Amino acid sequence: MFFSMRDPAEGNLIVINETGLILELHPAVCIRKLSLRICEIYYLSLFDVEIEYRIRKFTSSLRGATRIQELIYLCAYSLPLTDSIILIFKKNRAVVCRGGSSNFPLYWRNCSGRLYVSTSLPLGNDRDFSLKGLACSIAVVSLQGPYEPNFTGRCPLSKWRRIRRASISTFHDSRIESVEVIKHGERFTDIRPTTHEKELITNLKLALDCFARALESYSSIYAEISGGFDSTVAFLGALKKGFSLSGVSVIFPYYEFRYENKIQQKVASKLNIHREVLDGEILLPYAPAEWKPRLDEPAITVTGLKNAIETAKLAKASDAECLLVGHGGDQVFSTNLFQKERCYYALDKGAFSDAGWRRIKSATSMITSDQGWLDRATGCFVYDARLDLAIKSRYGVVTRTPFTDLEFFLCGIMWSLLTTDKGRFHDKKIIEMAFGDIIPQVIKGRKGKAPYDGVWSRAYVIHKDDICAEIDKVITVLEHIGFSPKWLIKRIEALSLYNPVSDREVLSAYAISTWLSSWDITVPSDVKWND
Amino acid sequence: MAPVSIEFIWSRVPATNNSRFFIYSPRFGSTYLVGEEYSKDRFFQALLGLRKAVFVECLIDPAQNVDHCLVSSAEPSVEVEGRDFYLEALYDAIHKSRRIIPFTSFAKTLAWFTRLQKKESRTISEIGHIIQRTEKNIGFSDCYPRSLLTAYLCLRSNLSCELVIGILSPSHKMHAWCSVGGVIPFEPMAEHWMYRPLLVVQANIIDSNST
Repeated sequence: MFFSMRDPAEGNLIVINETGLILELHPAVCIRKLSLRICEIYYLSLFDVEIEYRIRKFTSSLRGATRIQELIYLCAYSLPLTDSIILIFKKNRAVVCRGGSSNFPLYWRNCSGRLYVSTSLPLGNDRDFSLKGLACSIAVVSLQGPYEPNFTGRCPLSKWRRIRRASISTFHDSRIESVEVIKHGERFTDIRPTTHEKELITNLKLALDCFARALESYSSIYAEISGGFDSTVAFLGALKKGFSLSGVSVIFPYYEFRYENKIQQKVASKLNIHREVLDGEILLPYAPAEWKPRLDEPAITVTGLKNAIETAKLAKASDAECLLVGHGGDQVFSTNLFQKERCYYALDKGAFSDAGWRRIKSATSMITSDQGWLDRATGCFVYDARLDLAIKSRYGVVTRTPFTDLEFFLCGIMWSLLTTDKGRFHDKKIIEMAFGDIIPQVIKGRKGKAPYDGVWSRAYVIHKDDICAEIDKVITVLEHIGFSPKWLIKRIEALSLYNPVSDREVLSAYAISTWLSSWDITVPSDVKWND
Repeated sequence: MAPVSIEFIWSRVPATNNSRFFIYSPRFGSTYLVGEEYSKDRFFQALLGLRKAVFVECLIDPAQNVDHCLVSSAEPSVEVEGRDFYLEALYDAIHKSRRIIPFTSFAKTLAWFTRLQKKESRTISEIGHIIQRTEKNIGFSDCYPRSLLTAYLCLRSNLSCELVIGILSPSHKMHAWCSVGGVIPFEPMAEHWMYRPLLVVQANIIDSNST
């Protein structure tokens, strides 16, 4: 038995369990309740159209679990990478499992002795900010890629903590008891790679079948056509179920992109996809967008906001419920999933005040202390997804890639094992071997992916003033957080003059600036600072 | 061994809007971003060592294909076992001396050196596998020594080749590669095509028997 109501102000669904758990859900996140003999499970997913299929698959893998710990591990390791579950046991015990590529956030706090879990931070009401939490949002840019600062549970609000991706978080009496990392590779370490390529190919084909079945429930699908292996695999899943696809490509008039348009045209033609084209030059990183989402935490993925919005608008215009992309394919099949991500970039001390730098160093030491959160086998470095909730909420379109499906991810793990054992280069050859008969020839013969280095360089030239304007709006707050605004402006100037200098500090400052101004925080006195 | 003629062809690559250009200096082994005026100034060109080089408005990449790369749909047909300490030492020496000896000077030196050595008769594919083996044994991979070592092996096998320095404009990412008749013997990942050529060094075997 539980009580639920929709918060009239926010539209959030509030569920109060008989054990006292309070669960607040963003309207775009759907929930299902499962009652087992030993516990109740709340299953959360952004994919409301697919959720029944997901739950069927999930529950079928739990059969035979009799003991609590066994059930928890089965749940954690059977959970699709994008979804989350909350298990409620007797004696005030709760366990939250969050997938490694979770596309909606989860936060918790102790609320007068009750566990309060929410898919959003109450930034509208709670202005008790944490400087250390924000330092973590800055330090995360030392890693390659735009991901959550998963090395910590700290977040911008001091009273709240984030439930980390790829974690099993155990709560007792509304206090956190333990946090364990979900590392999918571990179940394979005892297995020698007697799985030859043929078996892996079979598993990949099964994974595509599962993906296709998951797409069955959608009435209409839109596609992002990059002309690469990954997005094409996504389309193949949809075409298996007879979908007639429309899609969009982004093209750039630059030397390194000279082959792309033709490849995309041929792919669209071969797969019978009606293709629209967007001019990449108006969708460069940092291009100002007509709408700024209110994200729960700063995210450097906002630099690609305009691109995301234009694609979502086209998808909505064609009445699509789902936007198919190939995000994560490189991460799953072209990297060694048994290795760890590393601190790729060293931040410049000059970008920060003394106090700010101390906080950054403390946050960076959390990254390098490595308690398993940097393992690629967690699935935390497949897909950022932090715009997905906002895009779904505004445009009604959910972003879907096959590479966050557990079936594909486990194939990636096996491929890493196989290539490492044979001393081979980590590439996507296995994708070609599995789907070579249905992938258009033009993709197999393509030169390779065009790099975005030139795109970013041009973005700093063209959008220098836009970046400075965003930073200027909240300059005193940035200073309070620990940035040196003078250093930032100089660095933006250097980048706009093609100087080969790092842009990581600018990226994080921009992410924080846009996040602050989206929440109408323009001066330090707008919030209470706590540490 | 037959003599080798070395010729340079250079171009300037625009940064974005044709007001500034990247130019590579064979004399200093560095790339410069300069305004249009400077890029056309003959004295400046001479200073960079481009006086005797042929200028082309838009350089075409002589390489069309890569014979062998690690990211490949075909299994390697030749084993890359075994060691050649001499080639590994040469690869390492090229890599370590890059800040002291400019690229083109090294190319000329290697071309001269091959004249003193015994001729070999390797195919493009064999050269590619030797380079792959060398990089595997030495433990790292870098386009700069790879391109020069490839040219060295090509010239020793009496194969004329082109060495190219390219840039991913307007970023400062650079790449070097060596091709024979449009084919690069080995690149771990085929990436030459992303880079716009700034300089092409044509190393041609002079056939003393031709009229």
